[in-house]
Amino acid sequence: MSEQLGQNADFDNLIDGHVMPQPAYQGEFTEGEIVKYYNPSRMTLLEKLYVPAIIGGLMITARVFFTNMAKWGIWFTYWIRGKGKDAPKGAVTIYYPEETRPDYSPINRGKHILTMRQQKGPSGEALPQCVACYMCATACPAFCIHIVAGESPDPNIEKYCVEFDIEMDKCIFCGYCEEACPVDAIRLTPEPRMADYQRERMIYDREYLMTWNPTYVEDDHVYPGGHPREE
Amino acid sequence: MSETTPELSDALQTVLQGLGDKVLAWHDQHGDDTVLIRPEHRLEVATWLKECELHFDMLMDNTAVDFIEEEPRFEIVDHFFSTKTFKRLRVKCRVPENKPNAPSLVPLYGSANWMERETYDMYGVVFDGHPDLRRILLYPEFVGFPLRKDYDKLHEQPLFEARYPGVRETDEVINPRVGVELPIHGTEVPR
Amino acid sequence: MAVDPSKIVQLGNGKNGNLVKPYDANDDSLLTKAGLQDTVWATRLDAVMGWARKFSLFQYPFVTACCGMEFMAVSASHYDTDRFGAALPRFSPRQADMLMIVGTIVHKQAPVLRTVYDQMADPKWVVAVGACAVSGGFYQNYTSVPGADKVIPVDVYIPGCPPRPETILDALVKLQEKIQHSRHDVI
Repeated sequence: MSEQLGQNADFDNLIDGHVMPQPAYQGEFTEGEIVKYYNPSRMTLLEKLYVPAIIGGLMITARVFFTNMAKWGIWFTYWIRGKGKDAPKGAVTIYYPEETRPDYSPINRGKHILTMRQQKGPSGEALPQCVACYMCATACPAFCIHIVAGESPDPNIEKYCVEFDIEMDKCIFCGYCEEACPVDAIRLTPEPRMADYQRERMIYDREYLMTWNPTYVEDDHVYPGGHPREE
Repeated sequence: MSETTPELSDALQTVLQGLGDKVLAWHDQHGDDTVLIRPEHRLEVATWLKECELHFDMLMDNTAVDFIEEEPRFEIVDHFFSTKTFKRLRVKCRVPENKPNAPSLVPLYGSANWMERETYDMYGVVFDGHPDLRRILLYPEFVGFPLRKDYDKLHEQPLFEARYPGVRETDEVINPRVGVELPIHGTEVPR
Repeated sequence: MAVDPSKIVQLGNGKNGNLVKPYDANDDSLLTKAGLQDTVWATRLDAVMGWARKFSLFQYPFVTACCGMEFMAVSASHYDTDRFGAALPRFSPRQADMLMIVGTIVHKQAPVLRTVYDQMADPKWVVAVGACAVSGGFYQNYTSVPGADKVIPVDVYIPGCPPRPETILDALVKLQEKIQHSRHDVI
C-alpha cells in the first residue's frame, strides 16, 4: 500500500516529522502475550527531590509580585502628576464598572434591540420596523420570542407587531433571530448588563425593546440607520 | 450461510461462516459490518464472537432503537470491537413491545452492566440475567421510559416537589424578604 | 404562544408594583412610636451591617455545566471577583454566604441543591448564572428543572449562554446593592 501511494517506508512511523514508537502489537496476535504500557519517568534528580521545585515555584510567584509592585510604583509617579489614566498599570485586571476591556468585541451578542422606522405613524407614534413575519420566533431554538401580529396604523405598511415579547431568561443569545430577520428589525447589541432581581421583569416587551438606549459601546457603526440614537 | 458474496469484508465473511443460521440478515454498508440475529441467541453469539479468531473482546456500546410502528418494536444494538485485530462489528436483534426481553451480556463483558442499565432506563428493554437491573440515570420515582417515541416530549416528573412538598412555598414565610429596596432596571442605574 | 399579559410589566418604571416598598428606618420604629424621630438621631446599624456583609461574600460554586468555564474566567485575574470581596470559594456550604448556581439543574439533582442551600448559614444569597439555571434555557424536556427558583429562592438572575464576565460582575454589583439595602437583624 505504501509503495502504491508513493510514500516512504517509514511513513507510518512519522507523525509531524517525529518518529513515533511502534505499537505494541505488530501483525498477528499470539495467545498468552502480555504487553505492559507505561510512561517512562523523565524527571531529573533535582525535580524528584520536590523541595527545590517548590522553592522555584515560590520564587516565580515572588518575582511576579515584586515586578507588579514596581510597575504600580511607576504608575504612581504618573498618577501623582495627573496622568494616571494613560499610564500603564501594574496588573492585567480590568476594573470593570469603571473601565471596559479595550478588546471588547463590538459584535458581541448581548441585549436585544428593536429598530424603528424613520417615518412616524399617523398619530405620531413610533412604528417598529418589524413586519410580524414570525421568522425570528421560528428560528429561535429556545422559543423565547412571542409575537402578536396586527394591522399597522400606517396605510402604507401592511402588518406590524402589536406585541413583541422576548423572554430574556430563556434566551441563549445565539443571534439566529437577527440572521432570520428580513427587514433588520431585531438586533443584538453588545450590551452585557442584563442581570436582574426578578424573573418577571426579564420579559422584555415591545416598548422597552424599542426605547432603551445601549450605552456600553459608543460606536456608531454598530447601530446604523433605523434606531434613533438621540432622545 | 454457506454462500457468501465475495464483495463482503473478510471479517463479516468470517462471522457469517461461524454463526451459520443464527444470522437473519447482514450488510456492510459504509464499512460497518452488521448482522441481525434473534434476541434469544444474543448471549450465544456474543460468546462465539469473543472466542473466535477475530477476538471481539470489547463491548463498546449497547443501545436500542424504537421503531414505534413496526411489530418487533425495539431493536437492541451492540457494538463490538477487537483490541487484537482492530475489527468492529454491529449486532442487532429485535424484541417485541409486550415481551421486550433479551439475555444479558454481563457474564461476558463487565462493561455491559451500566450500558444495559441505561438501555433499560431509557427504553424499558429488560435484560434477563442482569445482576442489578435498576435505573441508572433517572430516579426511582420516574414513571415510564423517556426515549420511547410515545413519551411526551414536554412531560416532566419533578423529583423535588415529590420529595419535599410545599417546601418552596414556605420559603418566603420562613425568610421573608421584606424591606428590600430593589434598584430599578439595569441600564438605568447610574454608576 | 403569547405570554400572560398580567405578567408583562413596564420595565424601568419604579411604580409598577414589582418593587417592594422601600425600607425606611423611621417607619414603625420605636422612635416613631415614641414621637422622638425629630429629637433623637438614631444611627443605622443596618447600613454598617450591609456594608460589612456586601464586601465579604464567601461563595459556594455549585458548578454543574459549561458555564463553569466562564465562572473560572471571572475568578481569574482579568476579571477579579476579589475586587468585590467575593474571592474565596468555600467548598463547604456551611462556610459560604453566596451560592452560585452555575449550570443546568436536572430533576435528579434538585434535592441535592436544596440540601446544599439548607446547609448554608444565614444570611445567605443565591445567584443563578446562565440561562439553564435561570429558566432551564432551551432544555424543555424530561430532565431539566425549569429554573433554579423552583427549588430555592434566587436573588439575582444572570441570563446568557454562557454570560459574559461583565454580566456576572454586573450581577455581583447588583447583589451588593441588594445587600446594602436589605434589613439586617442584629440579634
